[in-house]
Amino acid sequence: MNRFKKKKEQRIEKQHHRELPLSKSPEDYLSAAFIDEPVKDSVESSSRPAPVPASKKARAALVAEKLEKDLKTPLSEENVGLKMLKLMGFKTGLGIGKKEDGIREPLAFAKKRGRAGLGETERQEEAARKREAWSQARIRLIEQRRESFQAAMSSRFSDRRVASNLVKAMKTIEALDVQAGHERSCLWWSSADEHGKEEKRFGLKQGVQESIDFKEKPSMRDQNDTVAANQMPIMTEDQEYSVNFELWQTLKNDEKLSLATLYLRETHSYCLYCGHQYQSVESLKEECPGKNEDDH
Amino acid sequence: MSKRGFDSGPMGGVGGEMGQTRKQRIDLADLRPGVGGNGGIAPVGGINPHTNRPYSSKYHDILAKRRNLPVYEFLDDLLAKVKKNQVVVVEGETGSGKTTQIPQFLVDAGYTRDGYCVACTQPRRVAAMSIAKRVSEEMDVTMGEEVGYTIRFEDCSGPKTVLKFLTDGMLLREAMFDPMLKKYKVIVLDEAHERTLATDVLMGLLKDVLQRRPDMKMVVMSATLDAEKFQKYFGDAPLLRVPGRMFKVEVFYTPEPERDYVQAAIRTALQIHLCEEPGDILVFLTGEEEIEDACRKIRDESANYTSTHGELAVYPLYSSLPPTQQQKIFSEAPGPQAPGAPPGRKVVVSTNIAETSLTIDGIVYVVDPGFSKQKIYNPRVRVESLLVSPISRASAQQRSGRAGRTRPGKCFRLYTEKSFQKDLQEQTYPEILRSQMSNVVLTLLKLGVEDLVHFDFMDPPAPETLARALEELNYLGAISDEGLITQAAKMVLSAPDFGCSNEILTIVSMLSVPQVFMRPKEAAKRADEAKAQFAHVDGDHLTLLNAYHAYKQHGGSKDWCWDNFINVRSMGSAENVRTQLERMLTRMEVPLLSPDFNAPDYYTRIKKALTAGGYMQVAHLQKTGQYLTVKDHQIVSIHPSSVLDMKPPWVLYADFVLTSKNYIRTVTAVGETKNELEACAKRLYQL
Repeated sequence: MNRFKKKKEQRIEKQHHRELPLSKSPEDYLSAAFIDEPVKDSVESSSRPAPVPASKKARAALVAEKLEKDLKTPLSEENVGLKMLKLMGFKTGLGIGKKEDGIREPLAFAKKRGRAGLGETERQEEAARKREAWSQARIRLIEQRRESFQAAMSSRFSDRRVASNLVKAMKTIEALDVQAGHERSCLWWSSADEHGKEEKRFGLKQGVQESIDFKEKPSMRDQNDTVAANQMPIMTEDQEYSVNFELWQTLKNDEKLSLATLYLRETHSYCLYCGHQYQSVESLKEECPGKNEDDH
Repeated sequence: MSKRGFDSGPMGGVGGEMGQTRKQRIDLADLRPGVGGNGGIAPVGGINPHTNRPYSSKYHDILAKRRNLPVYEFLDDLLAKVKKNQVVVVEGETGSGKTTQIPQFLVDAGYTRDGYCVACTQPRRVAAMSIAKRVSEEMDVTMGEEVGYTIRFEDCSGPKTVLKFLTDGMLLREAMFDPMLKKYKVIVLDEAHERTLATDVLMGLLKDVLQRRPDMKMVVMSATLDAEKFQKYFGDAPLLRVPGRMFKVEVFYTPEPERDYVQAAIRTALQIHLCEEPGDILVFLTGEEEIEDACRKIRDESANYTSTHGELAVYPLYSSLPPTQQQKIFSEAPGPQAPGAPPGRKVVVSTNIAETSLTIDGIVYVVDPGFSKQKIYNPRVRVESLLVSPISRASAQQRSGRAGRTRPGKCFRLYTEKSFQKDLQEQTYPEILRSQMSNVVLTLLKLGVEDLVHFDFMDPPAPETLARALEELNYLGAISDEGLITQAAKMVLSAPDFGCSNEILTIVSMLSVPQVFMRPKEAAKRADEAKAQFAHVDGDHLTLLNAYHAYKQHGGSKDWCWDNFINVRSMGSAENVRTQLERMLTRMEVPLLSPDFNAPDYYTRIKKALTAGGYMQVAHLQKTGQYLTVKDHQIVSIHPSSVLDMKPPWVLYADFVLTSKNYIRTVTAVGETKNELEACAKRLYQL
């Protein structure tokens, strides 16, 4: 009888052993096997992770997150069922069926929320995407516009300034040349044709065109620059002006202006920006703050 | 005309018995359609070869109508194809009459000679019943005699039965006990396009059975255009296409997706009522709550227009609705309120049960939001749930077809044409890909299919789904770690034959959990006394049953368990296992029965069921006073923990415990003689 008791104890111990993996196993059926069924065994529920967030929303989010994660996690290789399936000849990566060509993964588990009609969720998502893209584009456009407007405004302003200075310079040249008895030149205001006058006065069309041309045809500009540069030495060395009408026409307003102011300074000791005719070129150089308008 | 039909074409009128003119025999030719004129129609009278009684006049009335069914033209073609091939696929639209006529053609063609039977499976119980009723009228026989049906809880067939309608699940269960389906000559699988779990498993099984039984024939009937898949699966079986009786249905789509499909459905139904010609409306929604909500709103809103546009009668339809309420959908649409006023209209708001299984005559308009509740199972989270999901294009076609049963109709799809093409899949996934499969796996194992991996499924399930099923069965103690069906499972499956499946279920559940009776060293005597309350003189299995009953009687009280030295955790587990097993058996259509507790043979029956299942685990008393196990001839003793206090000649045991001495544990005395034992076991092993 004594012996029997001993064995009985052993057995109880053994059964204890048997109990453990049953309830603590992660693949435990009693916990979540059938979701619509309340879990009866209290031990099972207490073995689940304890921390529970305070708000309902956070809890729901946590549950949803866990579900999402679980749905993506294939069964462990240690799964009893999977092992049995392998005993039957299942090969990982293949499917079930005579030709082992069944689906590899369980079907997706998409939960529809609310009463949105078929295609409505997609439409809303699409609309939201479009709205986002549109508002992004709009912001970009507004910024671009603002930048180009500012640039256009400032260049327009300086173009006008150049044009009005040029008109002033040419008129002064004409007056001083006439006074000094020089021959008529392309620098005279009266020489400019009506069309040129118009353009020169406002300088708008040319200015705008240039801002576009600049990017598209930099080589043209370079060419023009060299043309202008080639003409320059003639002016300074010999005090002669071989600037002819055709060449003058190809020049831009600012080039024309710098040429005209140079002519005024060198020929008439006159500074356009001081508005004063100096006694000599030397006194001009001494007294005038500089060649450019900004110096004044 | 009846307002109800299950894909059976026009129903016959009810006529009284009339005088009969006798005719010697009616042969097959009389049943065939006439080639020109009415040459083929049987003369009034004649003898019914099934009953040897003269035909009633009602028979002839119905026969005339049957001959108008589209399927009648294909009778010869069908029989020729069935004769030449083992498997024939029939594709017939609803209204072709294939369900009611084809099984009869096969009977009339002589496939039921020599005591054979034709079986026709249906996915739904109600359909099996009503079709059997209809066909017995058409054949002019008594229901349950020559024509019968078998569904869960109800077997309305007999030894004379030549044509039996049964659920696909029921045929599967029959196959468990008769794997070669020996009594059937032809199996007709109807509504195969529905691809229920049972149909899919049956197809896999029958493919194998057909190979081993060259004399057997099979007809697979499908409604939609996926017949090709069936043909291919059954080795390029020939196809017979039967046109249905369908009118044109105009389909409309919405220009934009709907914000709220329920609202949209209500609005559309009302608009139809206000703007369209007379004709009834069928609105598809997803569930009870939604349907009741919509019905209420339609009722409220339409009340404002009763005087100007006629009355709108609104009926809900879903499976949990009581049958009397369900019947209402067949009532006539309300008439005009006053002479000269516009006639009323009927609107039925239904789940997808009105999509295939139920036909409501008079429907001209269908409103389809494109959703239904569908079962989905994911083995990774082990959850099977019903989710509102988009239907398939095939389903949408089926729904629109419902508008064209009586005259040309209209179908309003509450989604864009683009959605129809882009958001809907071609076919609904077969149930086998969306279900948990423990019960199917157990059925297959019981049928002797040991290699589940290479079983010829038409659409094989995901490997993880099968793995989970095996894992679950293993946990429930139904299969061993090697994937073999256990004694316990066999016991449960054969228990209904003894009318005590509930009791066996309890015993098996109790056997699956760790020790129930506790025996602490310090209180051994009190523990033994406590256990003695439940002890049954015949042994431990019945003691466990008593303990479970007592536990339930005390409402599973912890204190009671504590006082009686019963492991409360084990009991909880046993209860849980029992619930799960019970659910599985229900799915397998295994009837859950209990014998009368006060009947004298209450325990005898249970013991017989135990023996039938556990035949191999039996030991016989030797002259030495020890026992010899039948299976592997081991000398064993009864474990001291057993309640048995005498030594019966034959015992059944649950465990074999190997310690210093060989013990058998959880032991119950069974049959007095070997013959008696064998008689029990024969029922299970006769196959």
